[in-house]
Amino acid sequence: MSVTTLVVLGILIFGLVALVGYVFMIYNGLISLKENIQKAWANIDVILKQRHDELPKLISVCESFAEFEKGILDRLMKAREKYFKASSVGSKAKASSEVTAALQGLFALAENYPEIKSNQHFMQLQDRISHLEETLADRREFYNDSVNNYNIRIQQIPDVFVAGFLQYKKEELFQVTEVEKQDVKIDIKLPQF
Amino acid sequence: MTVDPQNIMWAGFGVGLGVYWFFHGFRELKSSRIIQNTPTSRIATGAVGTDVEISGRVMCDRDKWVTAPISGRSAVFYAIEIEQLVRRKNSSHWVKIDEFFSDKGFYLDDDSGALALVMVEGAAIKKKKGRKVRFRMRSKDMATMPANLLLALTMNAGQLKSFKVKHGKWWDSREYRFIEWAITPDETIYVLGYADSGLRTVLKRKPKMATYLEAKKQIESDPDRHERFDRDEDGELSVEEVEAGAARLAVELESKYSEKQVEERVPKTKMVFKKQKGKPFFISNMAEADLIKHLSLMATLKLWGGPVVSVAGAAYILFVFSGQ
Repeated sequence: MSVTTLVVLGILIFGLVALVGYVFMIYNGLISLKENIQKAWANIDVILKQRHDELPKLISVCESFAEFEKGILDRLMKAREKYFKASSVGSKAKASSEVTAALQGLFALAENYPEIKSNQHFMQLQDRISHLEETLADRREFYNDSVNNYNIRIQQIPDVFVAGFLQYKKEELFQVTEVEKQDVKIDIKLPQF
Repeated sequence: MTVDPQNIMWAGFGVGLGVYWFFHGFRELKSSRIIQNTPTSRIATGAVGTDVEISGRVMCDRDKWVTAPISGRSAVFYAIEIEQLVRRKNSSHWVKIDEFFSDKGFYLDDDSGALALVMVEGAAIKKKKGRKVRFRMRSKDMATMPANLLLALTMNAGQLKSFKVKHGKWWDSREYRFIEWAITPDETIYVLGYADSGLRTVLKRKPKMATYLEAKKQIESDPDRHERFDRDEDGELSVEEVEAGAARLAVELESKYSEKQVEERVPKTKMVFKKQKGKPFFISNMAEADLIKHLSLMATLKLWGGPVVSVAGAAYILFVFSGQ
């Protein structure tokens, strides 16, 4: 065997090892990206569950004030029920946005009721829910970053070939719905002169 | 054709080095992909118990700053790498033999309302390019070492695994160099690693026996401390009072932060980064994008350069032996 043949053979061996190693790396990378999305979603779900557990307490505090508008509480209850019925990420995200919007409306409305606003339980619940909302916003951002990384990777060369083999499809982002983007309407009862 | 054994040896070394670079290149590529694939979390709201990426300012009170031993700069934290010069017949190269850190870790703040404690041991530290602060000396010239460096080496002797702080004999020609990496106050640091829940880890700290004995000595000799730990205020320190005081003082002496500061920080410490077996752990003063660029470049160079060096070395050996 000549030196040239051996050099070519050496290059081929390195090339083959590099190719196999690279494919393994892409494969493992895509698996971990997919798992990261599920983990990020599970971390959102924990916060959503905590928030939903707080809602009945908030509703019962508001209900104890006879003059408080029932419409907003009904809206909140309906949004909560929708969340429990939702199964996919998209429908859960939509239901969650409706809860957020209903909560924003409720807290804005509470500003008109000094008795509710100064109630100890209400204040505690408002603080707790606000904190959960903030955590939810950050985790939603994290989830969307994870999905974005994954969606980009599965469309890029050479990852697209491995993604095709694994039958990986694009994942849905946790988007803010139109309901959440709307301004909160507050019906302030101004004194008549 | 005459065969020069030294060239054959170099060619063999090249084959080995090329293979090492090739596999190391894969590791660098994997690291860069992990960093690319992990989104940045906020300390206050990020989930713990998993691999987390954060970026934040180093936090430290002015009275707890340390002096970097070689540069003399004020720093929050410093690391010293010790390298030894290994000489071969016609060449020489530096090999890392030891390292030590000024403290177990540092706090990071990303303005999210919580802090992260980063315990540096076992982390892959990637430093920003720039002038490296170094000191070089022979083993027998220990007297030329900067006083601060000697003091730091003596105080951290427990952390050193192979380097011994002692004057070499006149015939001792071993050569060392010390490379300093310091984190300055308010510097932004990038961390990716396994984050644990803060409270448990921070409260677990237990002082060393030597610090405990030192604390005991201080209480017995210092009248102010005498008064502080005299719980029953009878003017005398009982054995129990000395022991309880020493246990408390030892924690304060070992801690980078005062008891009051720790009490303030413990509830705010949401994440603790610590090396976990099989998990990535990177600390860098580079921005994330620069770190990815650096790792990708190194990976490309090693993945292409490794096979070239290896095949060239093997070809030379084969050429020499086939020509004989």
